[in-house]
Amino acid sequence: MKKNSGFTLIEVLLSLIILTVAIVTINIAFKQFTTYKIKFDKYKKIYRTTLSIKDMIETKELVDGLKEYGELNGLHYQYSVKLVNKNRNFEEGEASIGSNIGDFEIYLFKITLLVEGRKYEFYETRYKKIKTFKPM
Amino acid sequence: MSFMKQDIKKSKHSNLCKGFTLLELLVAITIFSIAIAMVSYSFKYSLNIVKYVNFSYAKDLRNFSKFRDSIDSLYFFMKQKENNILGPWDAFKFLFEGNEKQFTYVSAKPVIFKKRDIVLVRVKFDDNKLILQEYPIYDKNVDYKNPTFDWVNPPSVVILDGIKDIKITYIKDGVEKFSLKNNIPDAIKITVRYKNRKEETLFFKIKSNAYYKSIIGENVYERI
Repeated sequence: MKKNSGFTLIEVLLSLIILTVAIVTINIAFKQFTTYKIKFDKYKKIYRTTLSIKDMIETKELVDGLKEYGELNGLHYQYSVKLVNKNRNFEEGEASIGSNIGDFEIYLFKITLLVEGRKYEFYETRYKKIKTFKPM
Repeated sequence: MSFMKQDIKKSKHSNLCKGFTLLELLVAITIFSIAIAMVSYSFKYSLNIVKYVNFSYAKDLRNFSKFRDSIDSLYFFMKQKENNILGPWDAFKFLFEGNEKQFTYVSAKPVIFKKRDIVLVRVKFDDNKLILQEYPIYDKNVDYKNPTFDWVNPPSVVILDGIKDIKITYIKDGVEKFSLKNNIPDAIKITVRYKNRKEETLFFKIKSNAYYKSIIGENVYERI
């Protein structure tokens, strides 16, 4: 009798439940881990690359209406430069009161950057030395 | 007697063969399947705890961000020139030195010595890692006029890991240079080749507007 006795239906079902729950848990946890890892890697890549592109643009000479395309670390980008404002430093001339003989210009550029469809806007200030008549 | 024995045998046999009916089985399986479905459904949402697991690469990204801040806050530190014979105006040079594998600068935003104002920083490629080392400038027994890494093992932070090879170049006046000394570059370009054959190019602009300030400064000095 003892040799032929097996598990009861309840025992089998309970063990099946435990096994199923364990498999389901592991499966979901693994899937979520993979999803988050992929998302995080993508975020990391875009974050690093976008900052690098921004720094790269800032080292270049900026001109109003400049448009460029490129690729960095497998990400496509494009940017456009727009001159927002231009001003000359004020320095009152001695000969003619009220005239400005300031000899550098300040430019404010607006840069619109698109990285893989994501849009970023930032501003950059530039200075340029100009020649002016200065009384000796 | 023989009849009685036969009856006992029959009854025993009938007890052994008695099992669940198909209907009972189906009902039981249905109930348990519903239970499993409910458990799995609840697990699916409760397991969002994965979000809060501190991934090793999250730490990397945090360190990388701090490293970027450190370069952003590059301090135009002047060190006393060695063998100064040309007079006081040529006595000081910018503390910056870099080659293809490492570079040294002074930063106003320490990563390790957070309570210090400025620190000497060395970023170098070592043992398949890009590491950042710091050394406090205004400290006891430190020559603040010409600070150097005196410690054998200065405290360090890993910025990038799993690197096969690295190439660091310095952009100055639109020209890419493989080494730079006593001069501050406009930007630093780091090209990393990882062990998994991936390649990454990173740019770090030196944010300080010292170049533009010097242009303005020239004008100011002319007036005086």
